[in-house]
Amino acid sequence: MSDLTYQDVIRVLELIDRSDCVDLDLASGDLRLKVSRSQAAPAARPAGQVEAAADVASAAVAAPASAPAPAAPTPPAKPDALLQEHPGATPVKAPMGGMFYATPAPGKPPFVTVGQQIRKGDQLGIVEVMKLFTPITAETDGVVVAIAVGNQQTVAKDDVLVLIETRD
Amino acid sequence: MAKKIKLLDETLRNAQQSLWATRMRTESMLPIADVIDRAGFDTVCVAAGVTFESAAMFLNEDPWERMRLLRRRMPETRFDVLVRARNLWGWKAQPYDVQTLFLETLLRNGVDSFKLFDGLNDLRNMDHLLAEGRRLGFKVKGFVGFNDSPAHTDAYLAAKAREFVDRGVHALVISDSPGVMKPERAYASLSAVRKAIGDTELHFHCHTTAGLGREACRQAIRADVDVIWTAARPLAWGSALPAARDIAAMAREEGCEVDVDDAALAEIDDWFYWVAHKQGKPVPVEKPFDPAFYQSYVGHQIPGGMISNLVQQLKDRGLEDRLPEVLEEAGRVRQELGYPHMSTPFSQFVGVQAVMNVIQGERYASPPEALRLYARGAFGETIASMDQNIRDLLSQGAADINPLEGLDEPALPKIRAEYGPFDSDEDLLMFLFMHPAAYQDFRKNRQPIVSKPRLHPVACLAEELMARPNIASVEVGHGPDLSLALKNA
Repeated sequence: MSDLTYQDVIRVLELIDRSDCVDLDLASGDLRLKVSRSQAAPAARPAGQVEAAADVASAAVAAPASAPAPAAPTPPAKPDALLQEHPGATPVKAPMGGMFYATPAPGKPPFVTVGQQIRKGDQLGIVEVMKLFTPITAETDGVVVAIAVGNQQTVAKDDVLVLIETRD
Repeated sequence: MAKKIKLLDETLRNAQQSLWATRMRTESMLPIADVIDRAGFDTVCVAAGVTFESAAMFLNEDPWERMRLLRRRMPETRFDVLVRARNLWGWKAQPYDVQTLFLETLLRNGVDSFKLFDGLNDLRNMDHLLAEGRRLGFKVKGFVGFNDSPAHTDAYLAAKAREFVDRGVHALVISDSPGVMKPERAYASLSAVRKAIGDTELHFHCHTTAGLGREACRQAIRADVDVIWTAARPLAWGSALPAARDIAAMAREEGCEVDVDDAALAEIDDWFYWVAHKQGKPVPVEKPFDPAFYQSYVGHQIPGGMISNLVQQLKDRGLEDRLPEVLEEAGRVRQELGYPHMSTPFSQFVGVQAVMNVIQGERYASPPEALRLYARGAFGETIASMDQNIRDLLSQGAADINPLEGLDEPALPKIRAEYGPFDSDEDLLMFLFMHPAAYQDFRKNRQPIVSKPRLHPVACLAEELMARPNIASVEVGHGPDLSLALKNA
């Protein structure tokens, strides 16, 4: 290993960053270092810390439970307006908060579309939380009259996902 | 003759998962790979499900390419990976033909050993991989997970270890991943396991979260283990593993021989100090045993990374003040579920259910489908019996499920027909292991892996200084050969 280690470099940088205006003249072993400061320039911002801040931000966004947001999420319809539009319809609600999936896999057709006839037990979508996938199934026979959330949209518990109209 | 202790390096896998949210880039690994190769490690662990997924999802790196690049720079060292039983590196059980394809693909990408782990320690979930691993020439390590619970007795650990050895594993790992094994317990447990497995190579892995790791390792050495899992110092201690040089020194104190190159270990440590500095990652301080932390943790044993996730879920609902209640409930759920190993997916079962039990006010009101299947035996036999009432509530009287059902049915032709064509087997496996949206994003965003030479410390110093805006000039000289003067215009 060379006589100057990375740890030495880190210590020298810490020393320099501790003050904005001190000039430094250092000789140690084979190393000679002279640093002069300009008085007017703004406070130092070590390269390492800039990267760290960016990293923390991306880590916060990328919590394990959250899948990356889709490029163009389908805008959600207003559930209240939908309920008014279909007063007799039965809402299917999210049993828990998480991410709603309308399709079994990307590029695949959705489980159901508006106007589709469905039977009790048919799958309508998936809600995922921390990689646990809970299928959303119809509790009655009927017709899908509205889908209230877009594919890969975050939902809260009890958010209306789908409206089903039962026909006698 | 002195007893030999070997070190298994987890810097690139378990340690960075514990401390750096698995965000270490391949470009931080490659410059030091040649030194790791000659340091004398028994094995270097290069991947598991989380490193695999994080590389693709957050770093836009192809994890298979990382593996090949490491192999090219480390021709001499055995590589292993951690395999989560039949889930392999994904989130659901994979049929036998996928399991075999996975092992063949690992082999082709430079991995020659694996640790085989199931969160229920149910050997049936690992039988196919174990037999295929042997057939393909892997060194197969059976991994028995320890948690602190009334079910995880020494007799239980020894019996599970024996089961693995009877099935032909080449080595046996006792893993205290929650880091709750007290030193006297480590001695008792590992002695019992040693007795059960005869001369089979015995490994000990622990996390040092509660400050128990150092002395637990000492007792493990006294109980005749052969291999200890360690990390480079800047990624050691804290919620990670013990540091390689500290364990080497301790093993020598205990009268053992350790065939590692100490200068190489120092050089590896030095490099990762630099990487930590550049990424703004703090280096953990080694802490002594923390009884208060231990008491607050041992009831639920939820991995640290997941607790931050639970906190986020509670915050989203404005309920972060109820965290203590959730953690206490998690301890209850854990017991009711029969003490599954607190790692994926079971730590999620416990954590998510605990959150829902607390915020819904009614316990098990809307359990995830996977938990219902768990109660019916679809994941294997539970470690302890489930609470009968909870089991009935979850299974709703439905029949038990054989965890092996359908696994022998070939799935690859169907996967290829329905979702293919795939670029390669590697690509197909990524599709199977990743969240569908993450897989698509990876296909769009992946970047070639950058391979830069290791910059000399003097060059690093000059580069860093000139990046600072308030510095007018820098003069650096190093020995008789180097003299450099820089002026900011």
